[in-house]
Amino acid sequence: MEPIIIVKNVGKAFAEKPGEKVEALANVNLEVAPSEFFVLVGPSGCGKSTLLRIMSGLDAGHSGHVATSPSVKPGDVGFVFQNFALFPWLTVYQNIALGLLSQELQDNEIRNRVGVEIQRFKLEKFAHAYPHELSGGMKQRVGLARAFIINPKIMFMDEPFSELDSFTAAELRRELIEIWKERKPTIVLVTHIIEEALELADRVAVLTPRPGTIEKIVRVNLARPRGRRSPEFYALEDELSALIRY
Amino acid sequence: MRYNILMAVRRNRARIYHSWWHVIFAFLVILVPFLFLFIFSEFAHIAATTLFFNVLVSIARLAVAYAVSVVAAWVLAICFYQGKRAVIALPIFDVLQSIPIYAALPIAALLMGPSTFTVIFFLIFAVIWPIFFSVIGSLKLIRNDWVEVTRVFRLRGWAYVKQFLWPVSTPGLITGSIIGLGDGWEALVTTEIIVGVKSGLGNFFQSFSTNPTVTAFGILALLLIIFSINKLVWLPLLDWGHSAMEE
Repeated sequence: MEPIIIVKNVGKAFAEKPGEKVEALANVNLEVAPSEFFVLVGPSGCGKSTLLRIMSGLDAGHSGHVATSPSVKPGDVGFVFQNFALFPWLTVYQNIALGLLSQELQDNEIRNRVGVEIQRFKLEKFAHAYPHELSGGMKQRVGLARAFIINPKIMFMDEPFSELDSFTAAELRRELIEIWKERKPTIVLVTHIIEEALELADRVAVLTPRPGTIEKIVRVNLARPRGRRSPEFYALEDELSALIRY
Repeated sequence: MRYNILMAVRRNRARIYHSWWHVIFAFLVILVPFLFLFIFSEFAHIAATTLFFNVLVSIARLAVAYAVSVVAAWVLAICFYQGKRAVIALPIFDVLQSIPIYAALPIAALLMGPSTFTVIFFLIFAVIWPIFFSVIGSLKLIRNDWVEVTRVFRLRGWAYVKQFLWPVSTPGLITGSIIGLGDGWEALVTTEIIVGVKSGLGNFFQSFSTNPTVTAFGILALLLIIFSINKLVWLPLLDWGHSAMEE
């Protein structure tokens, strides 16, 4: 199968002081298959979020190149932010509908599609609430609904559960897997939690410390839903832990 | 058409008055300056109509100057708040706002004549800069991930202005309006006196410049009007504008 994303020799350097460059990423190569759940893990500061942003097109000024399949059109890419990035002046309903504003849709279709996502993410009681009235978990539900409403072919997720308590994060991970199974987008997710990576991913790419490059890509062949207490899960956890250098 | 869905819900948040008591209080705030002006006109032996006319003419001049300033300041701020344009333009605007333009007022009055246009023209320079720099301040505080949301969801054109630029600039617009209008009120009477227009509060104060009691009560009336407008319009808007940005 043709990859949907190809990352070739990607590097990124920041100028922290004039004349002093810090290499964040160096010579990153990877391919992501259509409908694959691909997770990037690595030590703090290894450039995994930078790589995700480069892959999504949000970050420019890098070396090497990133290509997506010709079937991916502008507007087929969603993004879920670590800090939710909801517009505080819009209600839950309006934040979710935001994703559709660039599309030539009739009012009733917007209403229907927002309604579907509101139901899907269990936000019925909060449709007209503002972000400051929501818990962290609810805010990220809105962030997910806003990203999924455009039916993206590729979904980028930057540590989407790191701001949530462990119970909410676990619940949202379960729901994310359900939606991914239903809609089959390609998901590229960044996390620093190995268990989270193993629970979600088809493949996990481990990045080295700065400058980040691919240490190894590990395939996770465990059946879903994945029990965290199985010996296979522990074995993979140990393998990933051994790969991550600080 | 499709933005109606968004706006229908958004209006709920712009509610300024929260109870009937609040509405009654608001009416009182409107009524008090008018009553004061009426009693004052009786006391000073001035025809009430003349006094009200002068007050309204001055308010109208300031309103026109404010309307022009707010549109111009917002458009300029949107055009020059970021990128290379900001690097070049903002120091220039900073110098422009520091020019003591009122030094040119007597000459301008001589050249342009004692007209309402001259008053409004000079009032604009008093009002526009606080609004401009407050809007710039608001726009500079835009969170980077909000900008990225607009990029991911390809918010462009009118939708970008309406759903993003306008809401993020509103708190600055309100704060700037309060400061700008404060400066405007201060400049209004002076400008009217120097330009020498035959109507408005400047003309009124000049006519009674030798009567300290009337002048003092006139200033008190002006303060009451400013207080009412602030209480009825700007303070609720300030509250609303900042609560809309609460995360």
